[in-house]
Amino acid sequence: MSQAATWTDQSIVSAIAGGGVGRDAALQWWFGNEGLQRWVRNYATQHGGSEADGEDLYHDTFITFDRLLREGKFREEASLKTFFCSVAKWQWLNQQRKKGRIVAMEQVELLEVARFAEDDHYDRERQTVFQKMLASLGDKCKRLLTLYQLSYSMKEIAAEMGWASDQVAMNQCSECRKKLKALIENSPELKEFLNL
Amino acid sequence: MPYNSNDRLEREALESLVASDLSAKMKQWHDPATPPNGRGNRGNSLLWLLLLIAFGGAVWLFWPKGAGEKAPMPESKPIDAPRQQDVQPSLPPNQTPIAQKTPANTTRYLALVRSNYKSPNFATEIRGNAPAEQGLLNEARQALTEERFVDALTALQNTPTEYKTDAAYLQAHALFGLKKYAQAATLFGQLTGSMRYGEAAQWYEVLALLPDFEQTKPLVVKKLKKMVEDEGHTFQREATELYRLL
Repeated sequence: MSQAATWTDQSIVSAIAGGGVGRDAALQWWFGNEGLQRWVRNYATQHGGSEADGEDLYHDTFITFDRLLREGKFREEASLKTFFCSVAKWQWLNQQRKKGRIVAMEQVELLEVARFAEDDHYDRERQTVFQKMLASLGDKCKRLLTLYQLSYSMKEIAAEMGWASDQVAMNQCSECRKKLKALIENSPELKEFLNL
Repeated sequence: MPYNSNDRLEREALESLVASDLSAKMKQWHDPATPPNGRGNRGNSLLWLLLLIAFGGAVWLFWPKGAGEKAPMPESKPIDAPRQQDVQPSLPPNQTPIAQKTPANTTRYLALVRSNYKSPNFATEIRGNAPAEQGLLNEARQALTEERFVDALTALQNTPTEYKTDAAYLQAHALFGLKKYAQAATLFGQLTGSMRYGEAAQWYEVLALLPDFEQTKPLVVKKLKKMVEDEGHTFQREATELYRLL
């Protein structure tokens, strides 16, 4: 029996939300869903977007979807595919609003997207600002903090980074978080951009 | 004060790193050289197979007649396309967030969590004549009393927004019960300014931060000290004792 047949909504959610090494496998499998890709592309083109917008929408939806699952926002009220499509609609709504465009949505769709918090959607402009700020963090810290945010254990981080022990990972993690905090402290323009 | 802006920025910065990492992976999955689900390699394998069959056919056609031997079949060994199960590691056993891992050096802190955490008596807060909208809160309280933490979380999902503070407090305890300490700490942290739950939330937040003490030490110490110095704080005695032990 192929592994594909063994993935269920529940196992995908727990693999992604659980973080660590299981997440990649689940995400890769979900990413390869051609039906969903098609649906998202069609949604964009049917709502005034181009093919490229459709590609971008799938990418951005995927990132938001991953975050929402990790934060436990999927409530199993509908299937995971339906949830993904709602995220795509919400993502599209936000993108269009940002461009000053009005999106006509049916009441049902509005209810679907109303559950999401403003901050959780993937915003390319915000991402660029953060990446600029994080550039000076260095590749090692970026990698380490990514793993940390994805709930890898210190032991797993040590293995991923090629360090001798989880104690080393712990120390490095502490250092990198300090660096990040310092960067944030010294980025008033970032706070201004995010209206904080 | 739910979040200070630096906490929020740190969280967003970390999420930005995750997004970046995922973008890179998606690019890789898109790349025909490393396609998702091995579809591209499967195509390559078919090409190899066809070439080998053609080669085999040619060998069969041009093999010296009368040799009386069976023409050897070409060894058809297409490159194995990675099947879904090849790229599909099993789900990590007991994959849990950092705060829930129990390496030797956190065992002591987990023990401190266990000995210090005393769940509020939620049963006493259930009122028979409560308005209907509070039904879900009461359901959650009942579930918490019976340590059915998942049921409590389920009940809290549809709580009306006017009860969001109560819901958040109950949710934090449910997460704590499920040993989701990091998430519980975040929620308790959001409630530390609450009139009703503030002092309790401060105490429980500290407890929820304890399993990750190696990382949260400065924060925990600072918060504990504040409670210790706060005459009349509901949890001053507990905080003082914990501060001494740490």
